[in-house]
Formats: sequence, C-alpha cells, structure tokens
Amino acid sequence: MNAIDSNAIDSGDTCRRRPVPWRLSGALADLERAGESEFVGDLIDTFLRDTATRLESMRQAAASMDLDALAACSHALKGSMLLMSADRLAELCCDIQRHAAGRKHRDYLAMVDQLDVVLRETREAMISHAGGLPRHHPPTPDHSR
Amino acid sequence: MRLLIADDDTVYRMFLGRELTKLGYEVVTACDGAGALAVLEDKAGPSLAILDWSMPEADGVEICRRVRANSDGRYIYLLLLTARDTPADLIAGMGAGADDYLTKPVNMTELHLRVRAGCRILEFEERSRQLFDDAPIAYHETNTSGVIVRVNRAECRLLGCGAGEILGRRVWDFAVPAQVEKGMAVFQAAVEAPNQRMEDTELEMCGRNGDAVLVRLQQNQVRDSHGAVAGLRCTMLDITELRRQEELLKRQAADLARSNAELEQFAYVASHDLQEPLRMVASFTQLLAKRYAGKLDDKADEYIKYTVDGAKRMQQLIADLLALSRVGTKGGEFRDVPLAEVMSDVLVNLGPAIQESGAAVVEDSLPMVFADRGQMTQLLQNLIGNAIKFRDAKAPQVHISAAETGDDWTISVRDNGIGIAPEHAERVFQIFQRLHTRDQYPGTGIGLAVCRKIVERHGGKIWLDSTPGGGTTFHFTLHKCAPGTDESLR
Repeated sequence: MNAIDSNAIDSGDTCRRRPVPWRLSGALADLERAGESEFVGDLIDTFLRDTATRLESMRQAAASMDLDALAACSHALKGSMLLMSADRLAELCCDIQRHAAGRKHRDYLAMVDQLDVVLRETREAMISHAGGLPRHHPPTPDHSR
Repeated sequence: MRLLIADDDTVYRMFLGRELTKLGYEVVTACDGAGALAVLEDKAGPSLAILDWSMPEADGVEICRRVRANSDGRYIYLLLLTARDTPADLIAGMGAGADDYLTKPVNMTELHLRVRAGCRILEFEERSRQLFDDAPIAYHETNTSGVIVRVNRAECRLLGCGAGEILGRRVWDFAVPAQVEKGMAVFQAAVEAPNQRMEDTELEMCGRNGDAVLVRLQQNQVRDSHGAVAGLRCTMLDITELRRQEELLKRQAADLARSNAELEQFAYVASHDLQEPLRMVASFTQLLAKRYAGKLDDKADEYIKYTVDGAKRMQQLIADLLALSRVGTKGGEFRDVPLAEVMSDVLVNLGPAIQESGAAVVEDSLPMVFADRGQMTQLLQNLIGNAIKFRDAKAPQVHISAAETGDDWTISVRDNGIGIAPEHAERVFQIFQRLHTRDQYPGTGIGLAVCRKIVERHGGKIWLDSTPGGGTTFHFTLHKCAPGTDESLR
C-alpha cells in the first residue's frame, strides 16, 4: 500500500502519517524497474494535466461554496495522487474532502491555493524526474457518451 | 478475456489498462458511467468489469444495480474499485450486485489475483451455461410465482417457441387447457413442499404446431442462503412417444395373450375331440387286421397294416398335443415338491425302457422346489426318456444333478447318447421338430416342446450343452421357493 491508506477519508491523523515531498515509489517505481520509464513519463504527463484541470474545478467550487462538488472533486483527485505517490497532495485533498463533506466552515479557497502551491512543487519534482518538460501525448480513447 | 475498466480518472485507466494488457487481458476503457453501461449492454461486450465507485453519469454501484436488473442470461463479473472501505460501503457495493470489491490505491498483485478469480468464476459460469443450454432435456427455472426466469434450448424446441416467448410467462401457460389447473397445483405443491425434490408428475403441454406433448415434469426447489424457497428448477422429459409405444406394447401383449389362449384352447379341444373318432378308426382297423389277416390278398394285408400304424401314430400325436396344451390350461397348483420323490415316480414309469436298454440312471441329492408336481414328473420323464432313447451302441448312462444358482436351482440331466449338433440346440425345443427319421428314432417331436413349456410356466429357462457323439446335458432352472418366501424358514 502507499503512504496513505483509505481510512484517510475519515481520519485526518492517518492522512498526515507521511507528508513527504514527491519521490518515485510504489507502483511507479515498480514500473520503472520493469523498464517502463516511457510509460511512467506518460502517466506523469497525464496526471499533471488532469490535476491542473480538476484543481480549477475545485477553485470554482470553493469560490461558490459548493461543498458537495468540492468534496467529490477532492475525492476524485485523491485516487490518482495516491497512485502517483503524491502523498502531500493526497493529504491536502483528504483534508479538503473531510471538511467539505462535514460541511465545516473553512477558508476553502486558501486550502485550494495551498494545494496549488504543493502541486507546483510536485510538478517540478516530477518533470525533473521525467527528464524535461511534460509531453503531450494523446489520451487513451474512452467509451464515453 | 476482454475486460472493461471504467474510471473517470485518466491516470488510473492508463495504469490499470497497461498492467492488465501486459497480463494478457484485452482491455476496453470508459471514463464515465454512461460509457460503461453502453459497453456492458453490448451482448458481445466484456464479461468482466472493473468499476470505479465515483464516476459522473452513473457511479459504480448504480452500474452494478442496472447490470443485475437487466441480465439477459449473460453473466458479467463486477469488481468495484473505490477508496471507500467501511463495512457499510462494502455492504452497499456487494448488495448492489458487485462480485468483488477492491480499495484504492490498488495493489496490482491483489488486483491481478482478484481478476483471475473472477475469470475462473466466469469460466465455470460459461461451462454451466453451455451445459444448461445444450442439455438434451428441456430445462427451466422459475421464481416463487411460477414465472419462468431461465429456459434452455431443448425446452424452446419442445414448446416450439423462442426463449423470448417463454421467459416471463408461467409454466402452466403452456399446458393444454384441460391441464392448466393441474399445472398450477403441482407448481404450488412443489413450492410449499418441505422437501426440495418432488415426485415426478406428468403434464400435457402445447407443443409446436399446437400438438399436445406429454411430459414428465421434475421439480426441485431452489433455496436461497437462508434456506427459503426462491423458485423451482424443473426438467421436462417428452414422453409422448414413449407412452405411445407403451400403449402399443400393452395392446400387442394383450392381443398375443388372447391369441395364445385361443390357440391353446383350440389345440386342447381339437386333440380331445379327435381322440374319440380316432379311437374308433384305430379299433376297427385293428379288428379288421385281426379278423381278416391272411384271408384277403397280400396287398390287402399290407394296406391294413399301414392303416393300423397310421392310426396308432395319430393317436400318439394327439396324446402328445393334448399333453402340450394341458401344460398351460390344465396345470396343477404350485407347492413345495421334493424332486427326489419325483425321481422315484419317474424311474417306476420308465422301468421297462430302462430295463430294455440296460440304462444306468444315477441321481445326486435332489432339492425341494416350488413347482407343479405332475409337471415335474412329466419334465424329468421326457428328458430321461430322451436320454435313453437317443443312444448309440453303448448302454445309456444318465446322471441327474442339481446346483444352486442364486434364488434358483439348476437341474441337469446328462447322458452319453448320440448328442445334438450345436446348430440344432434351439430348434429341438420347437414343436414337431425332429432331427431323425421315425425309423431311426420314433416320436412326434413334441416332447421337448412340452419340457420348455413346463419350465417357462415355472418361470425358469431350459437349454442344452452337447457334442455330436459326445452326449448331451439338458439344464433347466426352477425357483427354490415361492416368491416372497424366506427359504431359511422352510
């Protein structure tokens, strides 16, 4: 399992278990060891693009205090963050989700800003690992409506 | 194996897709619930789906619910993927119809093992479906209201309908009008029965082209995990032709029995009524021979001699025929008969022939049998008489023995006579069949036919072992005691 287990949804303490800066580990490290560096690069690229889009949605939800949308968006982001070993990002998402789901009064815009800051750090670390600027590969074809 | 990965998270779709493709699966992806449902509704679509719980349009739980509700007979294995892992979440997911549940972040080894387990279940499901569909016997499953929820091809053929015309209807909807109530009653009885398996019942159904089809209906309860009856699993065996053949056979057997009885009666009446005029012919020709022998010319003496011989032979023939017909019509009661006593009577009756031929008749210890004593005497007398008659230059040696064979005794009469060629082994038991001329061995060809009829009346069988020139052994079986009698109490 990665640094944050799924109990993190309900437990802020567990979320804070390992607030480390991004480093390659877990499933991604396994992929690299298996000679799948290019695919790891693709995953990083996709993750960064998707997260940037979803962060914008979070910001809008936070601005309008749409806590349901904010909780859902945080929850959705959290899964891939854990997969990508972006533990600090996952921890922040976990906090936002927990508070939003509990309909707590917080400065959610500030929390999203903090997420944005950590995302930038993470992005730099990831790009650095991938060896340059993110590539823009076409996404995998999907069976959506 | 084709599988669907439905997740609105592109990174997850890419990652899982890549890993599962490497493991040999053919992967299809969908980024929302609507896309996932579209893929799963396709009959040629994947039969295993990994569904993210939280997705736009329809979440994983909703997809599970819809897939299970719209089952078209094809089973889809549903694996729910989520970060939620409380017992309440697990119950909600599995309760909606998910087969398995896996929490994020995904451990690939665990996912692989769970997908492989799902594949095994699908393989088993497929084999089971093929067995069901391809079974030669009609088969359906109902719910507790009698509504058919599953039907196989054999039943579609039997009822002359497509599966679509059968599913959703009740079994008795396909019974002929006069049997609808019976169909409802046997269904209700099977649902309410304390036993899972009911006695088979027969029901007349409407087959293809409206023809009535008689089926043997077997009903078994299907119970849920709490032991409550959830429906019935039924087979229907078309016994229309079988019943027709049974009726035909019964009619033929009755016709044959009547015909045999008439024939026996005819043989008895004919031989009995012929005796009197024949006795008159024989008496007067013998009187003629006695009075006029040597008083007419030689030709007349010769003709009278032929007439007397013919009349005697005809008397013997009629006596034998009468004996044959009496086996069936004038038989005595069956009781315990000591065969040793029967043998004493036989030896007395055959005394002159034994003396004349110099025969040695030896008997082992003979058992008690359940038989008609008079017919036992006739049977052994015929066989021992034949053993003495069909001899060569040697003095006849006859040996009578008995051996236990299960519930029967096998009695054997062995001689050292001329023997019988194997090709005649069956023929000798037929009436009027003779293997020799009257000059060689006199007789009417009825004796062994009488033997067979006696043995068959006693429920036994008779046969022979023989080598031409090497003697013959006749064997016949007899029951040790009356059916239902404990021999140890005798």
